[in-house]
Amino acid sequence: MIDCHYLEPTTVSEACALLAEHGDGAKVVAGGQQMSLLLRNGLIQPSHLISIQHVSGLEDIAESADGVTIGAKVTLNRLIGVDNAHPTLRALSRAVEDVADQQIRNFATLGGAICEAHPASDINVVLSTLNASVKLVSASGERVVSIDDFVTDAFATAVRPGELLTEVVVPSFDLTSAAAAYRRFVLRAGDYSVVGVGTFVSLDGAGSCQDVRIVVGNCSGTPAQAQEAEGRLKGHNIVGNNALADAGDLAAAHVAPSGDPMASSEYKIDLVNVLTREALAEAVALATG
Amino acid sequence: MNVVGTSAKRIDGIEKVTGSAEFTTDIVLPRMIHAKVKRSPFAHARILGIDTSKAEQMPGVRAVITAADLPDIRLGILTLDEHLLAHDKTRLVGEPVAAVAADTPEIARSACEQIEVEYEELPPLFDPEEAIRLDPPVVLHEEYEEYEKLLEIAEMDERPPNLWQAYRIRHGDIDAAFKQVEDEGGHIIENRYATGYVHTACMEPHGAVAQWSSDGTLTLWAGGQSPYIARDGLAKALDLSPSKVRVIVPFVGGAFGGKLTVKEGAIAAALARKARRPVKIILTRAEDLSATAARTPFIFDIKDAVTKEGILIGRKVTSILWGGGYSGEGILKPIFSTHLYPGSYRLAALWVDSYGVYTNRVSGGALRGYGCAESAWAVETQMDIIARECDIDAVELRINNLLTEGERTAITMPAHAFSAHECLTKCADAIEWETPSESLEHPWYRGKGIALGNKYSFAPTASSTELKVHEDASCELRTSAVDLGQGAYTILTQIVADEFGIEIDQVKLVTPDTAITPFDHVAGSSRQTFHTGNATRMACDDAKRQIRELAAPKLEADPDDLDVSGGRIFVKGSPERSIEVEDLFVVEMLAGKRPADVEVIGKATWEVTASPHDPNTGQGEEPMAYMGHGAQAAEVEVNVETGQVRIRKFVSAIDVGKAMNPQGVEMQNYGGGCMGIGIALHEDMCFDASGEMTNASLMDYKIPSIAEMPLNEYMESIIVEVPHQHGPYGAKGAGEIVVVPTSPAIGNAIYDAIGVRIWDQPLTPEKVVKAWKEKKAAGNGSGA
Repeated sequence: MIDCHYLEPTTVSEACALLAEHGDGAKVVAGGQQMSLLLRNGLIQPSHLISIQHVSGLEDIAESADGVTIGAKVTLNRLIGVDNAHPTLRALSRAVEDVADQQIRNFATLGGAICEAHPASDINVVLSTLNASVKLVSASGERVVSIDDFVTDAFATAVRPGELLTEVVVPSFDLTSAAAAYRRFVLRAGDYSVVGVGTFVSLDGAGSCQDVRIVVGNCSGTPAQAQEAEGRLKGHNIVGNNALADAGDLAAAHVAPSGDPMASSEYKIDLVNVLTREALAEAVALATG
Repeated sequence: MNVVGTSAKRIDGIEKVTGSAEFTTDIVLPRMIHAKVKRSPFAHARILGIDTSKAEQMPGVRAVITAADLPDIRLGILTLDEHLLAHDKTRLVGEPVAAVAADTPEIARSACEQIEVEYEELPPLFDPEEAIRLDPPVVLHEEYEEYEKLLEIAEMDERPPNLWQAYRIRHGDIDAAFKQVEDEGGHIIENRYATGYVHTACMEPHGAVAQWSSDGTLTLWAGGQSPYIARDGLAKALDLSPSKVRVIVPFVGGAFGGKLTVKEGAIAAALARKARRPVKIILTRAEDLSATAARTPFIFDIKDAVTKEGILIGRKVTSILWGGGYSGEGILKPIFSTHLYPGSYRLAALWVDSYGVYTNRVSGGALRGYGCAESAWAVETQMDIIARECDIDAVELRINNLLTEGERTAITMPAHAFSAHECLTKCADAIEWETPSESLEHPWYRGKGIALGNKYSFAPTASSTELKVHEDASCELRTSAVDLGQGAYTILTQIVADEFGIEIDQVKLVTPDTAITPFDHVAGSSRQTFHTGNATRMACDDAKRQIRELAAPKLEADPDDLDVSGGRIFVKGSPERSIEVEDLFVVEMLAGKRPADVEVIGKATWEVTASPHDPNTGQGEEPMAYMGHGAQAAEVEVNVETGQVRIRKFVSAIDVGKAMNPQGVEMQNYGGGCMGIGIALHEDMCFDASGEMTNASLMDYKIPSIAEMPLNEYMESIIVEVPHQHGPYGAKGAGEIVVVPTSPAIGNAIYDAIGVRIWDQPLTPEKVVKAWKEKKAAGNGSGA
């Protein structure tokens, strides 16, 4: 039985005050897509639900020289096509297209998707690939934390009691020489990914890899950087040779996913290999395109 | 008026689309309370004690029941092996142990948590091949010999203690067939196939509302497939006379075989009696998926003797149905699945041993195709393998082995209205069988596959209907046929309109209510159009006979010289000599109009008899009501790196004898195809080591979405019409044949694309990748 208080602040400071007041038992609900599942399945028993539905100012998308800032309440559907105005968000926009379905994306928010910290979340993998960070506001101030530090384990984050995630910052990069991509495999459209891989590559004019980031989703509790695969690429020419295939092999060789009823560990490792290669190829094509 | 054969609009369409159609969950009665079931967490355990005192003391709790509150009666379809609430043992995770009725579903759920059950865990048994041993590690039903059984099984020297079904077919000289093939250098092809755990997963979960009246009559509203099976099951479970039970069937949100019985309805009824309040029970999605009967797996070992010319002359099959804790609605599957072993093919010799065994998992139930959809997976994959082995085209090989009209199959079923050849060739043409699939760029490969299917409709069986004619010449059909979504109500309405020459909106249906509507066996086995359709035509004839007799004196004609159409009775050949149906009615003070003589109510029973086959030989008289035919073909695209299988094109050609409502048939073709694609590629109930289902949600149990289906223009429905001599207007059912050939058609297409066989359903991406890797490791993986 769900038995808790439902509070509806209208400003960030009110929300933070309520979060501080009710401590660990307080949970934030935005679009309610994850929360309703968590509650129904009895996975959390909050004493207070703090709805930020009426909190204003968390729905903007703005770009500066440093990057794009996305309000926590921006819905997933609003992110589809957002790369027309903000091209560095291309991989995020494409990834969101395949998340769940139209009705869920109309309600689900970016902030909610991040805070859920689902190990199979596409969004956190893409944000990690893009080196994104989140802003956390509390009654006593605010702090900025990278996605990698924010997601601490499956369904666990670094958010402290009293803190509200208000925005996401995706740093800018040079679109003429760098690009990001995301590939996922699902058993059925709209499902959580069996495996997802995000890649970011920056190339010089000769096809040498200046910077690279490969992040694997759903093979551990958090998005996981494939450092061995990155090491095979960084500083090397990666166009027109076996580098990307090698990186796929290396990424696969260094993950140890647990199997689940829908996919064995061995199969997930196969998918990491394929998706890493494909996501790298897509990013390289975009960066050299 | 020709209403039959037109795509008349669904008569339930507007109600359903606008949301006004009433389903079980919509029913609200005064003082109604809500039930929840306490279920066993163990696959196999002895119940040492149940303490309900805490639950009973909770505010809002109105009744708690355990087996002690119920008559000590074992239930079942043909082997009575199951108590409504676990008696002394539980034999599967999720078995009902106790139940609570309370003011809200939430209180009832909390109260269930407060019921304390003391269990002694027993070792569970999951492996059917262990279960069938003469010395199994675990025996599920120690008292099996004492159970009441309504069906004879094959004689055995010693019955394996977990076995509940044994059926044999001994037709022709099987040893001679294999010897002939060995001597002449033909082909002996032997393979093992398996099907998976599949759930009906209907949009509407199981549920019921129970209410007792002061005279001790129970009324139950439940979206089931048969009000009469439900009525008799309730009467048995609660030790009542059937006449004391009234079952009303509201709209049903899908059944597919999963709603033959209403166990949860009986639990609600027992609670309602104790609480003296109406009780509603609606299972949660998790309960529905994990604790109601499922299509449990088969293992098939098939060995075929095929001549050099590709003629199948002998087949040997051993099959085991992986039953669950109770025999349930799966009881006949080991028998009925054998219909596909000959299927549409001539077989000089057939030898079958077919078994069903208990295991500590979900009980076996029906699911669209009852046994045939499973055996078709084995048989039609086998036919593809035979064709390749003999180097004969897979369509041609099938045609070469087909029966002809009038022949009998190896299990004595007559090949009548035998349309296998037409279905197969039309299907092959539509998929452009002669043209190989285009080559794609690695890692994608394309291929085509085809399969044939049959679906019997069981007998003995009967349907009765009544037809009342009103003074405005409208007709009211009283039927216990159930519209599960398949369109039965529309078809029956079309028949009445056609028979009386009136508009569809002049026909009213009185839907299943055992207090009013006469017996109809079940909305199952593709039987409503065929059997209820026949009964409806006959009831129309009976009503028209009565009308003619009433009109004869007025028209000064012999009743046999009269005809009834469009609300008029007229003399054949002289239509100007006529009266209105209304003229048969007279004005009655205060009461409007009444029939001049007697109420015009036509009544009819359509019955098909059959004698059971000898369980030791599988031989006997005509065993079934009719046999449906169909063929399906798929073109698939396979990614050998991820294992993804996309259905590029899908064709379903089925013979319905006469398309009563062509659009309805088309919908069966599409809907059945989608369901078949799900079963072939996606759906799989998973269990952990303790026997608990691990994917009991629609997020994790992978019913395919529309995105997994071929695009509209690549999904083709072909209607074949070869009339059946006993079908109404020649019609046969369409409901099940549409899922029978789907899996083998897809599996054969995967083989055509990448040259690998996957023997066990579903054909998941992971299995595709594994099979591809094994093929490459074997050194012939250079391409398809």
